[in-house]
Amino acid sequence: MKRITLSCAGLLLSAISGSAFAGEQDITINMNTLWIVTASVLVFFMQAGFALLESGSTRAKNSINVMMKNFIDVCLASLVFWAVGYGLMFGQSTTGWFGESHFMMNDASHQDYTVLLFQSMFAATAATIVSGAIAERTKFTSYIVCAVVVTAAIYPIYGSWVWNGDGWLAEKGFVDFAGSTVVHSVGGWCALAAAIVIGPRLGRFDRATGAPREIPGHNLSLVALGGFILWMGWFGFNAGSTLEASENLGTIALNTHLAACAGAVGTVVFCILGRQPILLTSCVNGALAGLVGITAGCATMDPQYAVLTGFVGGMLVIPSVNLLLRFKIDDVVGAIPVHGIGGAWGTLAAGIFYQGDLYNTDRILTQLVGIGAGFAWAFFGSLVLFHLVNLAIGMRVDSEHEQRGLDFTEHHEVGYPEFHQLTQSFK
Amino acid sequence: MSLKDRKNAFLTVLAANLDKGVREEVMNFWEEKYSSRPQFGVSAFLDELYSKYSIPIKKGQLFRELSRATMSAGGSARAERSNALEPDAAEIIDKNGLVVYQALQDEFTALAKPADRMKITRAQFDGIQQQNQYDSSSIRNVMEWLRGGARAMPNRAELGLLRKLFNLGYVESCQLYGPVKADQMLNTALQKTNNIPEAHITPPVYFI
Repeated sequence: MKRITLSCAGLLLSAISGSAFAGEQDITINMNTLWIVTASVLVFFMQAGFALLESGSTRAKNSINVMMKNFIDVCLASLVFWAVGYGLMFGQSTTGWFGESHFMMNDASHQDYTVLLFQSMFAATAATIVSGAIAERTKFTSYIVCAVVVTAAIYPIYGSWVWNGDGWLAEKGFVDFAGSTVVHSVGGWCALAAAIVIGPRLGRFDRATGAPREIPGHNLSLVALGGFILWMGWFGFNAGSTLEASENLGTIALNTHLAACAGAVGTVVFCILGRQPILLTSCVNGALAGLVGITAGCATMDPQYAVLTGFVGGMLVIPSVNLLLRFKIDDVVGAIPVHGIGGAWGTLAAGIFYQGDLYNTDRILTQLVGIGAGFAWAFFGSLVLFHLVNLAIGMRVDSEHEQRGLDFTEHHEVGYPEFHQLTQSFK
Repeated sequence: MSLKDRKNAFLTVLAANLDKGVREEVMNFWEEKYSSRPQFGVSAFLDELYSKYSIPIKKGQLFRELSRATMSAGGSARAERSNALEPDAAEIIDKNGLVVYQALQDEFTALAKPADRMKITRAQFDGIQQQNQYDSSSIRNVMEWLRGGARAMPNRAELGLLRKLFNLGYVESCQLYGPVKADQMLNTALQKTNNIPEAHITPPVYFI
C-alpha cells in the first residue's frame, strides 16, 4: 500500500513539474514572440524616420515624391519579400548561395511568421536606402521596379550567404549580427549604382570647374526628427536581431546607443579639426553612421569598442561625402557614406573588436571577404539592373519635370500648396 | 461658359480629332474669325469650316463632340480638371498667351547677369532646333521670335514647344547659377508675370 502510494505520489510530482516546465516553455516562446513583434514595430517605424529625413533634405517641390517612394517601398518590399525574398534568404539552401523553399509562406508555424515579419522590415530598410540618394530626379515607376528587384533578389541572395545557416559566408564565420553589410552596405552600394546611372541633379556641379553647388533641404527640422526616429527604431533593429527576449538585449541596446552618440561626436570632432561649420545634417549623418557601424558587432563587442566603432564611423562621413563629390556623384542625403561606407567599416570593426578574440587576423580577413562580396554583388548587380531599367523605361525624369518639381509631375499633389507657385492650376 | 472655357473646349476637341497639318489651318481659321466671339452656333461654324477646308473626320461626329464639350458644364469641368492635371502639350497658344510667355521669358532673363543673358537665349536657340517632335515651321517661327524679340512674335505656337523653350533657358540657368538660384529666378519671374493683364486669361505657370 505504502509502495503504491509513494509511486502515485512520484508520478504526480513528475506530472506537475513536467507541466510546469512546459508552461515555462510557453511563457518563453510567448515572451520571445512579444519581443520580436515589438522590435518589428520599431524597425517599421524607421520608415517614418527615413521618410522625414529624406523629405527634409530635398527641395519643397519634391517633398511628396520622396515621401511616396518611402511609403510605397515598404508596402512593395513586404509583399515581395513574403513572396520571394524570404525563401531566397532563409529557405533550404543546397548550394549555400540561395534558398530554395519557403516562398509565399503559408501553413507555417507562428514562430516562422514572426521571423518573417521581422525580416520583412529589414528588407524594406534595404530598399528604402536607395530612394534618398537618387531623390529629385528619378521616375517614380522606375524606382518602384528597381525596389522590387532589390527586395526580391539582390538583398535576399546576399542575406542568404550570411544569415542562412547553409550560407557560404556564414560557414566561414563571417560576423554581421544585425546587418551592417547585409542591410546597410547592400542598400548603400545599390544607391551608389543608382546615383551613377541616373546622374546628378541639374546644376549640381559647375559645368566649367566641376565644383559642387549646395542644394539645401527645405526643412532641416524634419531631418533632425527623422534622425531621432531612426535612432529609436535602431534599438529594435539591433536588439531584435537576437530573435528572443534574451539576457543580452540591454547590452546590445547600450552598444547601439553609445555608438550613435559617438558617431555624432566623431563628426563634430572632424568638423572642429577641419575648421568647418558643424552642420546639423552632418551630425545627424554622423549618428546614423555610428548606428550603421555598430549593427554588425552590437552583440559581440564590449561597450568601449562600440564607442570606438561609432566614433570612427562618424569621422568617416564627411571625407566620404567629399570623395563622392570629387567623382561628381550626387547623393542627396548621404546614403552612400552612411550606409555603404559606414556599413563596411562596422562590419570590419565587428571582426577587429570581437569580444574575447580581439584583432584576430583570420576573422578580420573573413570580414573583408564578406565586405568585398557584398560590394561586388550589390553594386554590380544593381548597376546592371538600373542600366536595364534605364534602357527599357528610363530612370530619370525629363528636365521639364525637374524644373516643375516631381510632386506635381509624378503625383499631381504638392506638399505646400499655399507657398508653391509652380503648381497653381492654370485655370 | 466663359469665352476662355469655350475656346479651350473647341481647341481640345479639334486637337484631338484633326491631323497636325489640317489642325494648323483650322486653328488659323478659328483665330481669325471665331476666337473673339463669345457665342456662335456650332453648326454654322462647321458649315463654314467644311466649305473651306478638307476635314477627314465626319461633320456629324465633330458636331457631337463640339456640342458636348461646349454645352456640358460637367464636360467643361472634366476638361478643366484634365487640363489642370495633364495639360495637353499639343494645345495651341494664341497671341494673348504668347504675350504672357514673352513677359515670363523677359522677367526670367532679366534676373540673370547681363553677361549671361545671351548665354540663356543662345542655349534656347540651339536647343530648340534639336526638338524633332515639333513642326519645323513652328520651330522656325520661335527661333525668329528669339532673334527678333516681341516684334517677331508669331500668332500662335504649340504649348509643348513653348514649355520646352522655357525649360531650355531654365536648364542653362541651372548650369550657370545652380538649381537653387534658378528656382528663385523662376519663382520671381512667375510672380512678376502674374501681374500683367493677359495673365488673367493665360497664367504664366502654364508654360512651366
